[in-house]
Amino acid sequence: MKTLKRYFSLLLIGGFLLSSCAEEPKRSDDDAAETDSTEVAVDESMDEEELSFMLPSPIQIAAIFNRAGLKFQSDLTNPVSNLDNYNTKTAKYLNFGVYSADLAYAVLNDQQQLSIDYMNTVKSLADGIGMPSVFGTGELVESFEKNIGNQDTILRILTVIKRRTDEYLEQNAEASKEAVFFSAAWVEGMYLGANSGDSEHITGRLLEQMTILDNVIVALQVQKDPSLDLNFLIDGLQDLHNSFESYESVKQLEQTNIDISDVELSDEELKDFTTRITELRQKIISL
Amino acid sequence: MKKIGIYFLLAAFAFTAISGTAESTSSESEVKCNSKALKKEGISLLNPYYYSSSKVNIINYGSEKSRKEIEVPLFRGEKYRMIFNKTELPKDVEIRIYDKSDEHEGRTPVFTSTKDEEGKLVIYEPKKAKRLYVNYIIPPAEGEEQGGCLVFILGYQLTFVTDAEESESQTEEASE
Repeated sequence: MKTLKRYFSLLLIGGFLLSSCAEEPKRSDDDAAETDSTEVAVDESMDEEELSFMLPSPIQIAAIFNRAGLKFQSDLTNPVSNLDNYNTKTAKYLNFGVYSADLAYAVLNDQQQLSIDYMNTVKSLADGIGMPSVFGTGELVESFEKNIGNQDTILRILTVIKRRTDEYLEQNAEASKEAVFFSAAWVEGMYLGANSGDSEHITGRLLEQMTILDNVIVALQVQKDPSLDLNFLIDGLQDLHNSFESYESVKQLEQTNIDISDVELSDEELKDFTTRITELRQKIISL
Repeated sequence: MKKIGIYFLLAAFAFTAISGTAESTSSESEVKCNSKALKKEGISLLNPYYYSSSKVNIINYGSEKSRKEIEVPLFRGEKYRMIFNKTELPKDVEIRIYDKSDEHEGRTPVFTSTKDEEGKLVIYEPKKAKRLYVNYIIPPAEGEEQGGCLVFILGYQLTFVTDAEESESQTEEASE
């Protein structure tokens, strides 16, 4: 619908420009540069490899939650022992995202042994997915273990992993698969935040994350790899999106100028939100 | 038998048409892009920011001026650095950053690249973290220019970490 609207607007603008060209002298190049961007044809192409938005770093999202006061709870993360259950491509891809979020959560909460365990789990899944170049010959894991007490170095290593993953996907014309990893990491991060039991400090940052959900859904919808079964995830995220939009506190946003992170969900709404994200996360880790 | 002959002719025609199209498409959209090197060059300017994500856009210069828009979610209270590597573009692409999408009338840019930045690395640090819309204003082609690629790198700052510079060098030594 949005695209149709844009094409219609372009037709109108195009028609207007054509009719006005006959009467007005041709603009110079300098004038054209000053022209408002609405008069420039928009490249509307959106395919699997070129989405018109960026996805944030899951490490940064974990850091934002951490800074908001998210406390560590060891029983919330996906146990390392579940790794052996992930035998399908979908399970491997999605739980690579889940474990990456758990790794960031452990690192940011200075859980050293758990961080090492999750680092090894993420490496196993990267190898299983066919991305051995992300971890190289093991030097990254060695460096991680050696510097485990230095949080900044460890976080830098996590961003090296993120960068190498992006590079691998790009070099193999699979850049869009970043969305598959990201969506699962996002669900895990939201699950950890929603279940932290500290709604006073965390809720605002959780709500802020909801502003990117529609883009996450679009990024999953354009996936064309038939060997990935993402329908349950798309449906679950869409369901979360729809229920969120139907909350009274969120509906009131339209009448006010307040920032989404300042919205106060009612206890019922927060409970519903937590239940939905928990159920979706359970489906991912049970694949 | 006659029908089979017609089907065969149609199939042969379709094959010729498809292969012909494929050849012309590939030659038209062939853009040399060393995205890995361009990204590396951009990332070298990130410190003390952390790498968040990147986007490689193939720029095809058409017969008319055109535009691409990229939505960039930035979170409240965070600090960011955006780096655009335009060094391998055959013809400059202007970068304009807006705080509203192209669906909003009368939006004004919060940043516009200058002529001096042609063929260079452009750096922008938003004063206030909120959703931004990066626009590439692509001029029309001249002569045989086919296209190039523009690399956008986003970095964020972890404000609670203090020993960033020291650790950066340690990490690079350890991982590269």
